[in-house]
Amino acid sequence: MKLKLFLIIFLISLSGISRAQNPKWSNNTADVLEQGRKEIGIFSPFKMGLKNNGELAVHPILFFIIPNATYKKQWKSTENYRLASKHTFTYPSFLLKTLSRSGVGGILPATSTIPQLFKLNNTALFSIDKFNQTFTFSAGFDLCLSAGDSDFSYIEWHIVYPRTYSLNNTFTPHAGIDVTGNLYKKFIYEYKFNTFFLTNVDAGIITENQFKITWQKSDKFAVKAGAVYSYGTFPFGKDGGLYPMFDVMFGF
Amino acid sequence: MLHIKKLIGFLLFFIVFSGISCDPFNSIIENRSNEDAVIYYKAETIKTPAASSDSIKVVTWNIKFGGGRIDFFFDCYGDRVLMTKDEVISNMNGIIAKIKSLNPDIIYLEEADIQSKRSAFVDQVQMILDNTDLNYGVYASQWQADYVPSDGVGKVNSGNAILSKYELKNAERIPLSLIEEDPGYVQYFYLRRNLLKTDITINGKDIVLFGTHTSAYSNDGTKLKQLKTIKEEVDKTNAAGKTFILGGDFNTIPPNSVVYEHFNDAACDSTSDYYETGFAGQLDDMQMFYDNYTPAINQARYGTTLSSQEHFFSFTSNKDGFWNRKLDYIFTNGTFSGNSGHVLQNAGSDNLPTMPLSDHAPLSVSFKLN
Repeated sequence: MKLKLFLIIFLISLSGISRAQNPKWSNNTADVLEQGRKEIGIFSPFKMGLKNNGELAVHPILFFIIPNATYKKQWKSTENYRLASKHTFTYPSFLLKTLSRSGVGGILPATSTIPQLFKLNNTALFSIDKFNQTFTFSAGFDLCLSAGDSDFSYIEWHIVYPRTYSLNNTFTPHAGIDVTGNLYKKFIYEYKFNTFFLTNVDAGIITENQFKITWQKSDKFAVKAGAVYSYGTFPFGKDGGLYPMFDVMFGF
Repeated sequence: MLHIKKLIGFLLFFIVFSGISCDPFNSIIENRSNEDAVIYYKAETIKTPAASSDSIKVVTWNIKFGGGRIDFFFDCYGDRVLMTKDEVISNMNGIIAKIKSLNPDIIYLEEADIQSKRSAFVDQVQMILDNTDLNYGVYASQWQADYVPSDGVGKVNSGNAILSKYELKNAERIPLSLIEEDPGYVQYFYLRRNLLKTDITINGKDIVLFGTHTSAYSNDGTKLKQLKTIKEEVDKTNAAGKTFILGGDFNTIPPNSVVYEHFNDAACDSTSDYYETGFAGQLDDMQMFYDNYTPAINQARYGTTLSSQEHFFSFTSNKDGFWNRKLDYIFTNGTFSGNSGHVLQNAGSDNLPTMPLSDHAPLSVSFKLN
C-alpha cells in the first residue's frame, strides 16, 4: 500500500516538472560543486568544491568513530553528457568494535573479532539531460580489504546490510539510476533506484527505491525529506521496509 | 508566513512518505490483528495418525530455541550469543529424535525460534513438523523485533507453539502483562508474553488447547498477573462447558516446594539482568490451578519432601548438574490417565538423554478422550 502511494505521488509530481534545479547544491549526478562552495547538513557530510572539477566530502562528526572521505571528480562535461567518478574511503573497524558489546547498544556480540577493515566504494556516474530532467546512470562496487583475525556477523538491517556486506565478503557491485528535476519553483525532486548485487551464491540482491523532495529556499538553506523502500534477500529471507529520510542543509 | 506554510507542507509530505509509526522495529505484536499475530503451520507431508485410541499423549517442552547446552550469556555460564546453522541443526536433530521417541499427539513448545539470528534463522516449528509424525502447528510470537540493539541479538522471532497430529483451528494470541518495572525501551525491544489458544477435534472430541510461557525475571508481581490472566481464560472455557488442556513453562514452582531459593545452578550475580531472586513469596501462586483443575503431576505425587519432589523437577541451567526445580505444567478440566504424568529427566528406553537437549526436560501425560 505504501509503495503504491509512493509511486502515485511520484508520477503526479513528474507532471508538473519545468525548469532545471538550482545548480549550486550538490546532488547525485555527475555534476560537482563549483570551486569554493561549501555545504553541510545535519545528517549529510561536509562538502567542498575543489579546483579542476573536484569535490571533497567528509562527515565531520562521524569521522571520529568511522573515518571517512569521499572524492568526486568530473572527468568530462559536454553539451550532451557529463561523466564523473566518486571514490569513498571508510575505516569501519573502530565503529564495529564500539558496537560489539554486551548490553544496550550491542549491535554485534561482545565476542566478535573485528579485523582492520579498509573499505573503498568506487562509482562511475554518467548524466544526461532530457525532457528537462537529469538522468544519471551509476555503476560501481564496494571493495573491503581486511587484515587480522575476523569473526563477526552481518548486520542484517535494511539500508545497513547491503552497505556492510563487503565487510564480510570483500566485494559488492552496485548499479542504479537517478532522476532529478524541478518540481515546482524551488522544490526539486529526486528519484533513485539502486541495486546491490550480493556476491555469495544464496545472497541475492537488494534494491532500494528512494524518493525525496528538496526545498531549496536559497543557495544557503535547503530542507529535504523523503523515504526509501528497501527490498531484497536477507539472511532471514525476502523482506521489504520503508524508511524516512530528512535533512536540513546549509550552504556557504 | 509563506515559509512556515511551506515547512508545514514539507513536514506533512515527510510524514506521509516516511511511514513513521510508533513501531519502527515491528516489535509491538499487540498492534497486529489476530490473523497477523498467529501463524498456522503444516508439515510438508501429512502423515496419517495411528488408529483411534481412548487416550492421547500430551507433552510440554521448552526447547530453548534449539540452543542445547551451549553456554549463552544470559545463563552467565558463558558469553555466547549466536549459533551457527550447523549447531542449530545438530541440536534440533536431538530434539526431533526425542519428540519422535515420545510420539506425542499434542506438544506445547516454548522458546521455539522461527526467524532469529541467534538460531541462524532456522524455522524450528517447520523443522519439527517435517521430521516427526506431527502434522499441524500454530505459533504466536513472544519476542519479535527486526533488530534488537542489545548484546548482538539482532533479528528475533521466538515464541509459543502448539503442534499436533490433528488439525488445529481458531488459533488466538492472548497477550499477557508486560513487566512494569522495565523501562520503556526495554519493554519495546523485549519479551511480550502470551497465552496461545487453539481448537482441536480428536475422535469427535472437541478440546481447547492453551499453551503459555510466563515471565522469568519479574520482581514486581507481573508473573502473578500473567498467571491470573491465564486462569481467567481457562475459567471462561471451563464455564462454557468446554474441555481444555493447558500446558507450558510457568516459571513458577509448585506449592510446598522444599527448595525455593539459592538454587545450586545460579551463576549470575546480583548485578546481572538475569539474576535469580528465587521464589520466596510466590509459593502459593500456582495453587489456584491445583485447586480447580487436574494437574499432570498432582500435589500428592509431588509430595512435601525433597526426595519425592526431585523426581518431577524439569529445569536446570547447569548442564553438569541435575534438574533442580519444577517449572513446567499441564492442567486439564478433563481426565488424565492414572499417574501417567512423567518428567523425562533421563534417557528412557530410547537411550536419548534429555539433559543435553535443553535447560528444560519434557513433561508428558496421557489424556483420556472418553
